[in-house]
Amino acid sequence: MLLTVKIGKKTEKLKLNRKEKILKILKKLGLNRENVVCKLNGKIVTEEEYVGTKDKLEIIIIVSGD
Amino acid sequence: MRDLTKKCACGRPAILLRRYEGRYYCDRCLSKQIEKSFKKTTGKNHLIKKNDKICIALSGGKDSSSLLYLFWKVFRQRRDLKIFALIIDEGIGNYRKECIKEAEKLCKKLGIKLYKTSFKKELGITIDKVAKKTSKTCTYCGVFKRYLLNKKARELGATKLAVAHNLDDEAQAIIMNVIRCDLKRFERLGPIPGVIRDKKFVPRIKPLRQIHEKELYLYAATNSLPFCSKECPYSHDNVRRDVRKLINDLEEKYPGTKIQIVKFYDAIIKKLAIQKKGKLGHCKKCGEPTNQEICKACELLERLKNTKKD
Repeated sequence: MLLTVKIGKKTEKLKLNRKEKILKILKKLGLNRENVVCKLNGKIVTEEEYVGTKDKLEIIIIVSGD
Repeated sequence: MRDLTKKCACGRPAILLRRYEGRYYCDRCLSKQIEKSFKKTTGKNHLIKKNDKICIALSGGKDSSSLLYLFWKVFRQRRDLKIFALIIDEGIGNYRKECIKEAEKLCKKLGIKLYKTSFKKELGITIDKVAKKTSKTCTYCGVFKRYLLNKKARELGATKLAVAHNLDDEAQAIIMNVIRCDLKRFERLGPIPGVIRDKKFVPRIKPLRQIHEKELYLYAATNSLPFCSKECPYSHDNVRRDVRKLINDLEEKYPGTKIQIVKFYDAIIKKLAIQKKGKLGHCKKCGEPTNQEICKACELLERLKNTKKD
């Protein structure tokens, strides 16, 4: 089963065997939770939530240094 | 749509886990916490005095937009205070133009006067042109921005210049100064950096220095503030970026690291009893405050004139 993840402007497909914690997905993608905000089905959630293949996950990279 | 599993203590869906506290926060409770922290920092450090004219350094990003909104929300009833915003166009392609649009939207929404100026108008240069001559664009941009913010804020009659440095920025600055062994800059950090009294120097205040960057993003997003989330095209490959990554990695492994770095700084500054009060001179070229004969902005402008390409 594949999960579509939107990371910034890019979209990636990730292999999922079962529901997985967002935190684990962030680790797979090499992202730090301090640096991102996650939206699950359009709502901001903590990285402790679980996602399945029917969900829409968007990872917003926090831009710094202004 | 399925229910979210993580809830705030109030029962609403959580948007943040503060790992160093072990508590989940919803949008409303997080906003309250941020407003509390803003009030605490301004109150404890006496950042605002009666009849202050506060110039908010606005960039259109999440931090300064949140700062402006917090000032409006917390101090709008104070009739003795005057709050206005200042934005500087550094001349970076379309990047800043888009941010200026967002800043204009926010100021219009809150009814706050926005003043605009640019590197081109004031210094006769743009960062796009600087980038053609040197790879150290961030150094030039930072120096010119601080120079212009002080100059314009003073000309506008400001008694305080509020900057949107958050907890992450402050922790990064502390570590960067340690890496560079720069004690002079190290001394100048804190909630009121460089509190030197000089008629040409507008004291800077940092009311957001206890608030995490991620929380400010969430604050701006959940309060529907217009803000620009584009990255500066020249921000790649600078020291700050590496230090940011290092601190974020530490924070992920050891929650509370950023707070501890800043707390350690505040404690050590008190113990060292570093005299922040000093005298400033004035630049021989432009007359702006400096502790050198020629200010850094004039020095860099001169260097640019003499540089063909890095």
